[in-house]
Amino acid sequence: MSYQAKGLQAWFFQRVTGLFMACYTLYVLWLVLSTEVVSYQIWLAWFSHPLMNAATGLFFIQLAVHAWVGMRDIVLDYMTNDTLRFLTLTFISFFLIMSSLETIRTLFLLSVNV
Amino acid sequence: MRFKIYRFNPETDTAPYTKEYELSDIEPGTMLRDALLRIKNEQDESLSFRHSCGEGVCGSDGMNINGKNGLACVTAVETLKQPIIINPLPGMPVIRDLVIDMTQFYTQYRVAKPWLIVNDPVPEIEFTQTPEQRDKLDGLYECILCGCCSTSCPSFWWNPDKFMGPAALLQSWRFLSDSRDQATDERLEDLEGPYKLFRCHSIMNCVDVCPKQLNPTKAIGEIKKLMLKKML
Repeated sequence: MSYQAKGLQAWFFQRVTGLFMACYTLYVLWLVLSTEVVSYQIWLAWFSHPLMNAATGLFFIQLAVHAWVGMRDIVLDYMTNDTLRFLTLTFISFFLIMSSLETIRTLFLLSVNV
Repeated sequence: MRFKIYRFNPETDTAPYTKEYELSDIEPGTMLRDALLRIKNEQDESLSFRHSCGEGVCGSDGMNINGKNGLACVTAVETLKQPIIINPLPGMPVIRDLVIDMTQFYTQYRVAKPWLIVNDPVPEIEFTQTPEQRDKLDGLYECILCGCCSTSCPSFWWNPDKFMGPAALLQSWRFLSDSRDQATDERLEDLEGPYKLFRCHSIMNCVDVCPKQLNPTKAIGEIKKLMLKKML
């Protein structure tokens, strides 16, 4: 998504990602609550399962997209200075991209190691 | 009955201030506009505010009454908590006392192109519509452009030059849903981008304050739905 990110696209992405994340969160919540003791081994088994691993990767990518649209909205609403706007948006996108990459790297290592 | 009214005369005052007034012998059913007129006639003729029809049709006397935007002429004073605090509609430049400069509001209204755009030859006698097609305009055409909604919208406060505001967007949807209009694609194209339409975050202050009980948030949602339909 570009800095310009068209209105409709951004709005649509935010809703779709929100829906996916809600489903994922409910599923993980159910998983945790329905398991008596969540040990590291069990946790590892969950997240190294290919489907769960992929879904988690997707979750964090969608989280980044969702957060980007939300943060961009806040910046567009409250920040009027163009330079400050540009710097803030650059920092936010850098942070979101780096943290997403790191999460995906972790998930990938998890799936390879087991 | 006590009133606290925002006062500012740019010719004599350096800063706005609040002035207190007291009225007695208020008759039952007195509207705020009548009370303000009494204050103006009996106590302080320098008090300025817009008003005209006195029955919620012209939309001239929009003001902030006890923290909520509304029309003075259809607000009964006995329903209000005392002291009644009256301010001009928020977020707009004040010309004097309760009179605000509505230029920004009207500029955004113009952006909505509030007229029928017809490319086909205009029919000789009249445009015809079925009752069902006409029904779609109910809840949209009644807007009196008082400005209560747009001036209560935080998104409009932050970006009044870029975000169209609920009143103008209600009109956008009024013409998008008109069976006689032929510029749907152009109108939707006009609304694209992060500002004009998509600064709306469904805060719904507009619905809360509208003196005609209209629902701009719903209209904005319908525009988004139509855009999405066209995109997919």
